[in-house]
Amino acid sequence: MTSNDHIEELIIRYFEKEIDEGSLKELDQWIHEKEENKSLFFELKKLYDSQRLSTYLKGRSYDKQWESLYEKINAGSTVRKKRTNHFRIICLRYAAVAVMAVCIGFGMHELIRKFTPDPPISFNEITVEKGGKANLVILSDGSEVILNSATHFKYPTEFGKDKREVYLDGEAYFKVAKDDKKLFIVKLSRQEITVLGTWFNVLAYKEDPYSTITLAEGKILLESYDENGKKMSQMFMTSEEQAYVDNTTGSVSLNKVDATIANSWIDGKYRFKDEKLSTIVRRLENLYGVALRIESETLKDIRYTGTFSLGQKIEDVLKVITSEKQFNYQITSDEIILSVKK
Amino acid sequence: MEGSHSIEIFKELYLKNASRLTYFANKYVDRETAEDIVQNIFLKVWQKKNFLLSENGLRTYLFNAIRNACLDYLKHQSVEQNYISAIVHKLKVEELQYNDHPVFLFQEDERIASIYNEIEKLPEKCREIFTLSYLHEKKSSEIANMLNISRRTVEAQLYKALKLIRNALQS
Repeated sequence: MTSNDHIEELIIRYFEKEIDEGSLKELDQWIHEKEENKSLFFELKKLYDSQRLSTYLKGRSYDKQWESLYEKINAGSTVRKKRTNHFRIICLRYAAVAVMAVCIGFGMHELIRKFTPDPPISFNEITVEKGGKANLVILSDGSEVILNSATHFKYPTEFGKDKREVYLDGEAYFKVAKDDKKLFIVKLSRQEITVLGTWFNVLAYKEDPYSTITLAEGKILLESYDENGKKMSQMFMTSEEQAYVDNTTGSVSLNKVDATIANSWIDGKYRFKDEKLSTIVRRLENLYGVALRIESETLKDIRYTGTFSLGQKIEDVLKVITSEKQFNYQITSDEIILSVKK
Repeated sequence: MEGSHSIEIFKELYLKNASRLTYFANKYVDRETAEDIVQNIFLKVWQKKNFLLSENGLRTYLFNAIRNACLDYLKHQSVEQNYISAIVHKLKVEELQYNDHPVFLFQEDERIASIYNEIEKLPEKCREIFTLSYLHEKKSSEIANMLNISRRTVEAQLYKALKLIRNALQS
């Protein structure tokens, strides 16, 4: 008991860097007497030191250091320019959100997240704004998700033992890494998609009346719910099938399709086949981050087939559409109005 | 244009994490060395485009990099021939080896929040003394003078506080 009291004193003196040689020798011996002592010592040390992290985080900014790092980067980047550029073409379109996800996880504002001693399920949430570019997210199991504009995606920082669950509101293309022991589940507002490993596209905005799920390859389980959360159907989908699900009733219609049409946006193209102008306009709103209004009801149901590149200006896209179907568009400061041509 | 965008992202990553990594390194090496180590790590992150890794991947990468760099530095540091610095040096290496998981670096914020909570729950005397040490960075001898009590009492109370908080966090 008395010897233990003495150790308390030595530990504190070590932490305060005020220990003399004889005491340090004694402390060192005590630490190595048992594994238990060692872990107690290092745990307490970590606790004692932790205050200094806040001091560091609140302390002086790293802007100066950043400048010197930036200089080094610039000096180095001329040498590697070719490689870097090549890399940019493939990846940087997707880089923004991948890194944003990382930053969200790191930030001090994460303090709000409640602390629990058990490994807590903590989530990363990503929102791609209207008019934002497609963004790649790589999950901890290696699965890749490409998020389209106007999309909200939530996933755990680490998956649980027996399943991989993610949440989506909007449009995304999934390339799920194969893992026979862990189901991959995409939760939508009114549907649930269960897979082991495959590629598929999901178009499911919770305020839209319909969700569209297009499977490129493999097999997935689709479950749909009505607006009251009652399960209405459960079915397997196979390659090149598209499910069109009514979000109110939960009813599903299944069609054979060319899956590349639904997936075209990930290559920077938007293709549509025999779609209503009202549907196309909704998509344009999300892709370009603009408000579009169709003035006449008759225009809304006109169907259109075509392809455009996401790099094109919205005026050019509208010009192409209106060359076949007869409407005028007028761009005002806060919206674009489509009206019947007189 | 996209190139300048990626540098913005990298900058944000740097500014968010540089202080945290420097704090960690500074526990084992002097401040100046800690700053150098952190700069070199980020230079590599940029060159290898490692900032494209997933969140967990990046955390693991940064943690391993900082830990290995510190260990490497300690191993090559010529230790002065006195007994105290030799033991302190050895204990630092052991401490680094003990702290072998990224949570030690990236979940410290959460830990600190819960430490603040636990401080509130300490017995009054214990809390007063621990607050002076932990939040105001006073040494035991200074606290003893301020409160007119023995240094031994202060040290015993500090130890008690640390242990109570540790037990609370573990349960």
